[in-house]
Amino acid sequence: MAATAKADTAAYLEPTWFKNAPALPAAKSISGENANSERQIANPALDPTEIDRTVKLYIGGKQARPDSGYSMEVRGRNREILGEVPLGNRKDIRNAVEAARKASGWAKTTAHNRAQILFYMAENLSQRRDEVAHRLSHAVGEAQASAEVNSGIERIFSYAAWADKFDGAVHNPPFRNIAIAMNEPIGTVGIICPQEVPLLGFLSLVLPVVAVGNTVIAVPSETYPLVTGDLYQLFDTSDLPGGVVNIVTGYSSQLLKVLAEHDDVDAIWCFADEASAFAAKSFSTGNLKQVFTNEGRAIDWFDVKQGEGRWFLHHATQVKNIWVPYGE
Amino acid sequence: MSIAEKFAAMEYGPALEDAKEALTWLDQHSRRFGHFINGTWLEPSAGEYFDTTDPSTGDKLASVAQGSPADIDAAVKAARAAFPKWQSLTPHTRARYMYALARQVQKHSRRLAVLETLDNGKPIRESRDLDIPLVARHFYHHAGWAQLLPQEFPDYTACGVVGQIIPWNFPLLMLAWKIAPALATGNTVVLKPAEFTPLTALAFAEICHEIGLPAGVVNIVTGDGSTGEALVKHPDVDKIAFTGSTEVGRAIRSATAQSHKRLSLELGGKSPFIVFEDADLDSAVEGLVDGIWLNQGQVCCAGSRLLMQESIAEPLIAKIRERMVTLRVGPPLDKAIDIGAIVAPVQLERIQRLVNQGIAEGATCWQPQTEMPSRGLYFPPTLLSNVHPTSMVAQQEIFGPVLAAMTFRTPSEAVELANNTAYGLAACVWSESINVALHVSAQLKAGVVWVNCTNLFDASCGFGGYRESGYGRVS
Repeated sequence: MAATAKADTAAYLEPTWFKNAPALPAAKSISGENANSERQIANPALDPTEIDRTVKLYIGGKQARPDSGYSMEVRGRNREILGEVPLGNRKDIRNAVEAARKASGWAKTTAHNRAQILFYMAENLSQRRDEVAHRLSHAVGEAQASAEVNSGIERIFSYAAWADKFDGAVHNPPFRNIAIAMNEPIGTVGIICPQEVPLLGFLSLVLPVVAVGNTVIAVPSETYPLVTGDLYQLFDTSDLPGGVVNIVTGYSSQLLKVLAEHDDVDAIWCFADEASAFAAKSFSTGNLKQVFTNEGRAIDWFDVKQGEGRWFLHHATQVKNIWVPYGE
Repeated sequence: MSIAEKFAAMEYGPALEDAKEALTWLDQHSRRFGHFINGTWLEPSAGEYFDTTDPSTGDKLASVAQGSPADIDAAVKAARAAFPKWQSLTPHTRARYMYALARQVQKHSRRLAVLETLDNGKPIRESRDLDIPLVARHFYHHAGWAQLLPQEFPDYTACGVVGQIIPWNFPLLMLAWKIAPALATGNTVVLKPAEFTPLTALAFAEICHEIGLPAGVVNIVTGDGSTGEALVKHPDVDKIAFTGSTEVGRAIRSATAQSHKRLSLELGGKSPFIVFEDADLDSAVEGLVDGIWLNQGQVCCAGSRLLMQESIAEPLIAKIRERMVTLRVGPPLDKAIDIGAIVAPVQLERIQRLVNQGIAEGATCWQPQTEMPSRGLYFPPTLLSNVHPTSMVAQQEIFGPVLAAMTFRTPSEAVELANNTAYGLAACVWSESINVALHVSAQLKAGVVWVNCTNLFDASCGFGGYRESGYGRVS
């Protein structure tokens, strides 16, 4: 799709691949809410050579313990326990929204600056490629894990590139005016990340939103929420200001409701199953926030044509037409 | 008596536009209209009709079909059947149809303007010079997009069958904003015009027939809210596009939530009209007349909150009052009328109720001693000053010729006040300083900002709001 100038035409179009996309297969996830607490059978085989790594929530640039004081177990492909993540709740989301609002200065940083921070992120992920892939492989297998990291690095590059190029337009209406169509960030966006591609899915949704100056509260994949630990280390070492990206782990269906109902969240992106897409629309009826979902359809996040680009950037921005007198 | 004095004392004589052709057109249809479905006129399945009246006289103009769920179903089926062929036409062929629609609107522009004024009550000056020319412009512009679609939107596809529900304040213009982009991109349409103002949509249906638009591409089903509800809930509609009140927008969001229907909403507003001390006050006053008294203030983006920098508040209010005295309220077909009739009794009551509430909450109400017509639905231009930012008249959309005025001291206070509603549709900024104007424009939460101008619309610029003013830069 070409420039945002054509927003009203675009309102009646859909990407052809998306219109024809099949429904997402039923969740195979055995972590999170889908886990049928099998704590008694699955014994966490403690590896005496490794120290357990405690993953926390990431709010306002700080690692935070959950309000609930509970954790949620995360299982690998063979039902082995990989670790635990905080069970976030309403209070944690509220703290995260507050932190995201406080970080709204991000919208005023130059796009050039945002691009540099994104490139820096790619550098840092590239440097840790192997360890991040290794940890991720327990949940999704080695092949997918390394593909996610490699594509993830490329995706960061894409949005670093877009950050200073997703420009507005100048319209020439038949009056003594021009209309400057500015692409402005929507504000604070709540994101429910895809279950099946924990790292690449997170990056594919959070990066376009952040690249154009929004702040985010993201709920990572319930399949492998441990990715949070790798992500915040990545953000912390890349000069991303605290509060621009906040991560709350937990049961995504519960956190979705809190995000959708929250009056200070400007948009909700929900890329999980069909029921979640419907829930995002229902819960946001009161505040009429913008809703962007996969409608429960499968998206091939590894395919550049589906997983990145203008379609996402378009949803991460809103157009402000500023009419100014011009000419004779 | 000097020439200048003569000019000042001169009275306007009546200058009525002749309604004959529009009335003849109504007579040709026996003043009774069915639905336009699949290229033909159909009687409503339940056999029910309702009256549409001229708000400036209360006289009945015609009977119009009340759409039932069965009528909506027939229209959706026709649109669905027409969709594959319409979508697969070459872009150039679709462009030709749209170009023909634009041409036909132009050929019959005066009849459409008069019909609009009869049905809606807006001054003929507006329907003739604003509404109808913009309608033609919209179809020309989108005929162009139909032509360029594959080049500019490769890998994109039409949504399918689109249900469109439009308001009564700019009946034919809203129809154009909805139908033109939908058809250009290959969708087919079921449109429900507003209950108060169905006539120009029916005239447009006839135009579709005249230019040979394939049957089922555009279907017009008239009726009240229940007809709209049937359209929103129809399972075979792919997208709903709605322009109207925030309240109904919410109901539509709720009704479509458990479905894959796409949705765009263009809802209410309480748009600020910000005047800085360095503004050209005379221009600002003229802008304000257009901003709040265009179409009797029944405009979603009306500049209904006047924010004045404290230093110029007094002289500005004086100038506004002086200008208000010269506003002429009267029969909308009179070419020298500024303020026409309010669309329906229920709206008139609402305006009166909100103004009374504003006064009760402490606002000072001022109305010029304007001569008011003895019959019909009219409301005088009204200025509420000393309005508290949290009072009802500063927060709620009045949708009438009522201006709520308050003051600010600094640009940042102006921004704070301007953004202090649940809406975010439009804003005006008046300042001779480009720095002040653009600095403030950047911070306003609004989909449109007019700098030193107001209420300008064009097909090339998407229109839509932030926050509770809706989403999707739709038309």
